[in-house]
Amino acid sequence: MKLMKITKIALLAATSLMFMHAQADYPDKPIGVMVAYGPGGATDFQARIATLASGKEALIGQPIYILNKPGAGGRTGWNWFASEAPKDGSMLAAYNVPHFIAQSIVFDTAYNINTLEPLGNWGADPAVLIVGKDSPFNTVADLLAHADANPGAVTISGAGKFVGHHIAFLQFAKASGRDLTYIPAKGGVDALRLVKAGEVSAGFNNLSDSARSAADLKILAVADLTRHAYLPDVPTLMESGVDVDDSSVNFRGLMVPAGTPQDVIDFLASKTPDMFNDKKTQGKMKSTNSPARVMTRDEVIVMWNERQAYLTDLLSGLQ
Amino acid sequence: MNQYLKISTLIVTALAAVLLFTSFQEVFNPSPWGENEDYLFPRFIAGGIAVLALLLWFERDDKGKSTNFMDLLPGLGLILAYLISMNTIGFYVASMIMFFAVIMIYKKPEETKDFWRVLLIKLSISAVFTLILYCLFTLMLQVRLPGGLFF
Amino acid sequence: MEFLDYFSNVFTVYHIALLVGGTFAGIILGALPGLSPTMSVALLIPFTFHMKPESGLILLGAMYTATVAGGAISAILVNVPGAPANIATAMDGHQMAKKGLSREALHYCFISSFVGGIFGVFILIFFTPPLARLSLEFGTTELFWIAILGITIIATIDSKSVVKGLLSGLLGLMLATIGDNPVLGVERFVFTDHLEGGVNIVVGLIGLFAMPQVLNLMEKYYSEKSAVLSTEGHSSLMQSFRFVFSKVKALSIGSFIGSLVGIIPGAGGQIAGLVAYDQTKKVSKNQSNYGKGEPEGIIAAESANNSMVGPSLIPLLTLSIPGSPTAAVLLGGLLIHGIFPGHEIFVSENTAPVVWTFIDSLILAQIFMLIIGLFLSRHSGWIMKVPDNYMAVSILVLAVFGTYSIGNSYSDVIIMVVLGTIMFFASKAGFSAVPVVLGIILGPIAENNFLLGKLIGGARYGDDWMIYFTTGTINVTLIVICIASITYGLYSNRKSKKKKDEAKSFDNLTNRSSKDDLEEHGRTIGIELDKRKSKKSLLKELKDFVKK
Repeated sequence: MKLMKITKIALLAATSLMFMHAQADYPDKPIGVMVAYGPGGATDFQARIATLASGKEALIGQPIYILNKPGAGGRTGWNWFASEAPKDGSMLAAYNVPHFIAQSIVFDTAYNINTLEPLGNWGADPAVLIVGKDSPFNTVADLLAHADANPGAVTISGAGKFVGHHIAFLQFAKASGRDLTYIPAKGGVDALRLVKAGEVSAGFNNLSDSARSAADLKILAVADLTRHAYLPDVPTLMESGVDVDDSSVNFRGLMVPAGTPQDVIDFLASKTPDMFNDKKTQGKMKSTNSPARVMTRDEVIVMWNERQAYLTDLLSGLQ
Repeated sequence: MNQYLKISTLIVTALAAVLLFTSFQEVFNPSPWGENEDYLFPRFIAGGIAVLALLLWFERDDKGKSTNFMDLLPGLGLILAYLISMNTIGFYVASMIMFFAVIMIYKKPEETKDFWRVLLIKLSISAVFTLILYCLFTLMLQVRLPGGLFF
Repeated sequence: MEFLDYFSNVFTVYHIALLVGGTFAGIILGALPGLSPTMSVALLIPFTFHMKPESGLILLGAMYTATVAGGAISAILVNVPGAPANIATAMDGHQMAKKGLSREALHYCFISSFVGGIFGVFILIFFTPPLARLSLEFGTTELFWIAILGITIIATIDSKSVVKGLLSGLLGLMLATIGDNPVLGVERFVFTDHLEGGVNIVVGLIGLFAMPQVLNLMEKYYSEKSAVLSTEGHSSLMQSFRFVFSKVKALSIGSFIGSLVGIIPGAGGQIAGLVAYDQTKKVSKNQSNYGKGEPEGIIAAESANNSMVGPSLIPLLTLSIPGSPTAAVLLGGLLIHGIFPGHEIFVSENTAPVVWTFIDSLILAQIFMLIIGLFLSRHSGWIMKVPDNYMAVSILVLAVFGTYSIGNSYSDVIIMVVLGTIMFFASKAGFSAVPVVLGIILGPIAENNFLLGKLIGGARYGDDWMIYFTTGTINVTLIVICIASITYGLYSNRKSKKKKDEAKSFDNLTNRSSKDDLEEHGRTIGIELDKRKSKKSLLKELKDFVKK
C-alpha cells in the first residue's frame, strides 16, 4: 500500500514537473493560425499582417504560419478547430464575429463561445449601407421614403446569410419598420457587383471594400456606434434616424480552443495586443485599407457575450 | 446490354428514388429555417435523373467491357489502406510505403530476377519520390501536410 | 500606347529572373493535379507579401499565365487535366498522345496558348474601358442563362449516348448541391461530416479523372502490354507552327470566346475551353474526328484558356470584380500591396506604373511560356515511357497531395477517392467524366443566380418575376443561343445517325451492284452520278461524298 502511495506521488510529481517544463518552454516551435477562409481573402491577408511581428523576442518569440481550411462559410475550419485542433497553444485560429456566433446559433456546430477562448482582437470592419453611383437615393431617408411607397420592392444585397451584412440588414429592417428584401449573394464581391450594376436598390457591404470603390458607389451610412476615420463625412445609421448599433461589425481576432492550459492562454493574451499594435503591422494595416481595432482578451470576452445574447434574440425572430 | 450498364441502371434508378424522396421530404434537412425553395433545384434535378433512369432501361450497348478484378483488387486494397493510414502515420510516410508497395506488388516477371537488388532500387526510388514531394509541397508551397507519428 | 512606356521596368535582371522562374514553376505546378491556376496563385500570394508591388504582381501574373497552359501537359500525356479549363484539351490531346503524337499535341497546345494569350492581353490593353462597362451588363439573370447554355452542351460533349451524357451532367449538378449554400443559408445532403464543405470543383476534377486512370493502369497492368510509343515526333517545330496558323477558324473562335468568357464575372472562366471546343466542333467539317485526336480541338480549347487570362483582369482592375476564379484570388494579391482596383488605376500616379508594368510583364510571360513550353515538350516524351506501375502510384500520390493542399482537408481526399472509384466503374458502363465535372461547375452558377434573380425579380415585378429573366438584350440573345444550341445539337445528332445508316447501307453496295443501283443510292443521299464513268470511279465518288 505504502509503496503504491509513494509511486503515485512520485509519478504525480514527475508528470507535473514534465508539465511545468513543457509550459516553461512554450512556445518552442512555430505557431499555427487556422483561417477558416481561403488564401487571398480579407481575413487571410489581415491575419498574415496582424501576426507579422510574432517572431520578436519581446512578443511571442516564435514565427506564426497560416493554415487555411476554407469551406461552408467558415464552418469547416471552425468545426475542425473546436473538435480536432491540438489544445496546447500550438494552433490558434482567427475568428470572425458575428459570423461564427450566428452560425453556432443557427447550425449544429462543434463550436460556440463556450468552446473557444479569445486572445485579442486586431480589426473591426463595420458594414456600410451603399447604393450605386447613379442611384436616385442620396440619404438613408431617400431610401426609406422609396420603401414606404413601394413595400417589398427595395432590395438590399449582402454576402450571404448569417454574416455581418445579413445581421445589419435584419437590424435595419427591424429598426426602420419597413418591408425590405434581402438579396444574399454568394460573397462580398458578388454583393458589391449587384450594387455597382444597379441590380439591387442598395447593399450592406464591408467598409474597407466600399471605401476603395468610392468612384462607383455612394456610401449612405455606417452601421457602427461612431463615424469611421476612413469616412469622416458619412453618418452612422443612428445619426440618420435608424436605431442600429454595432452588432453587425465584423470583428477579427485570435482565439484558442477551450481546454488549452490557462497559463498558455494568459501568456498569449498578454502578448497579442502588443503584437497587433506593432508599428510596422499597423502601418501595413493602414496601407492595405484594413480598419484596425485592437482589443484585449477581457474586452473581447465581454463583446462575445453581448453578441451571443443579442444574436440569439434577433435570429430566433426569424423562425 | 452489358453487365455494367445493367448494374448502373439499377443503381441510378435506386438513386433517383432516394433523391426524389429526399428532396421532397426534406427529411435530411438539418436547418430549422427550412423554406420551400431550399430543395427547389434538387427537385428538378432529381426529377430529371428519374426520367433518364427510366430511359436508361431501354439503352442499348453492345460493347461489353469487363473488369479484371484479380489484378484490380490488390490495388484497391492498397488504396484503402493508404487512405486509412495516412492520417495516423503521416502523409509522407504513408505515401512512401504506398509507392513502394505498389511497385513491388505490380511487377513484370522479368523484374524478379535479383530480388534484393530490385528491392533496394525500388526502395530508393520510393524515397526519392517522397523527397521530391516534400521539397515541392512542404518547402516550396508551404502546404502543411499531417505529419502523424513521425514528424 | 502608354503600355510601351513601362516596358523598361520589366527588363531588369530581377524581374526577368522572376518571370522565367515563375513561368517554369507555373508550367510544372499547372501540370500537377490539384494545383490549378487558382490554387497556385493563392499559394504564391504569401510569397509576394514581402516583395515590392510590381515584383510580386509580375510573379503572380507569370504564374497565372503559365499554370493555365501547364494544365494541358498532364491532360495530354496522362489524361488528367490539371485544371477544369483543360478538360477539353484532354479529350483530343490524350488521343493524339496515344497515337504517338504527344509532342505534336504539346506543340499545338503551347503555340495556340501563346496566340490566344497575346490576343487576350492586347484586348486588356486596348479595350478595357468599353469592356468594363459590358462586363457590368452581365448580371444575375444573364449568368443564369450562361449556365443554362453550358448545360445545353452537356448531352453531346463527350458521350455517344445522349441519355448517359445528360444523366452524368445531372448527377454532377446534384453533387454540386451538396453542402452549404450561402444564398439559401442551409446545408443540404450532408449525410456525413466529410460532406460539410461540399464537393469542391477541383477535388471533383481530380477524382473523376485521376482515379479512373490509376485504376485502369492497375487493372490492365498484366493483361495489356504497355505500348512503348515512339515519341520521336513526326513533324518539326516549324511544321507545327505552320499547322497551327493554318487553323485560323479554330484559333479565332477560341480566342474570341475565351476573351468574351473572361470579361463575364464569376466562375465562368473555367468553361472557356469547353465552350470554344464545342463551338469549333459544331462548325467543323470533320466533326466525327473530335474526341479521337483532332488537333483543332486542342487548338480551340487552349487558345480559349489563355485568351481568357487578360480579359479576366478587365473587370478586376477597373471594378474590383474578378472575371475568373483565379482573378478573384489575384484581387487579394493586389490589395495586399495596397493597390486598389478602380477606374483611375491606369492613370493615378501611385498605381499606373505598377499596373502597366504588370500588364507588360504579361506579354513577356506569354513569350516565356511559349519558349519554356516548347522546350519542355521536347523532353516530355519520357513521361510516356514511365512504366505503368510507377505511373499509377505517382498519379495516385500526387492526386492525394494536390487534393489535400486545396483546403488542408482530409475529407476532400476521401471525397476524391470515392468519387473517382465510382467513376471508374461507371465508365465501364459508358459514362463519361466530362459532363459530370461540367455539372459540378455549372450547378452553383445556375442555382444561385436563379434564386437571386427570382428574389430581385419578385421584388420588382411581384408574381411576374419571370419577366426579369426574359427581358434585356443580353438575356434575349442568350436565350436564342440556348435554343439554337439545342436545335443544332438535335439536328447534328440526327444527321450523324443518318450518315451512319447511309454508311451502313453503302456497305451493302458492292461491285456486284449495278450502275443503276449506285445511281439510285446516290440520289437518296443527294449526289448525282454520271453513269458514263466506270463503276469503280462511281463507288469512289460515293465513298468520298459519304465521308464528308
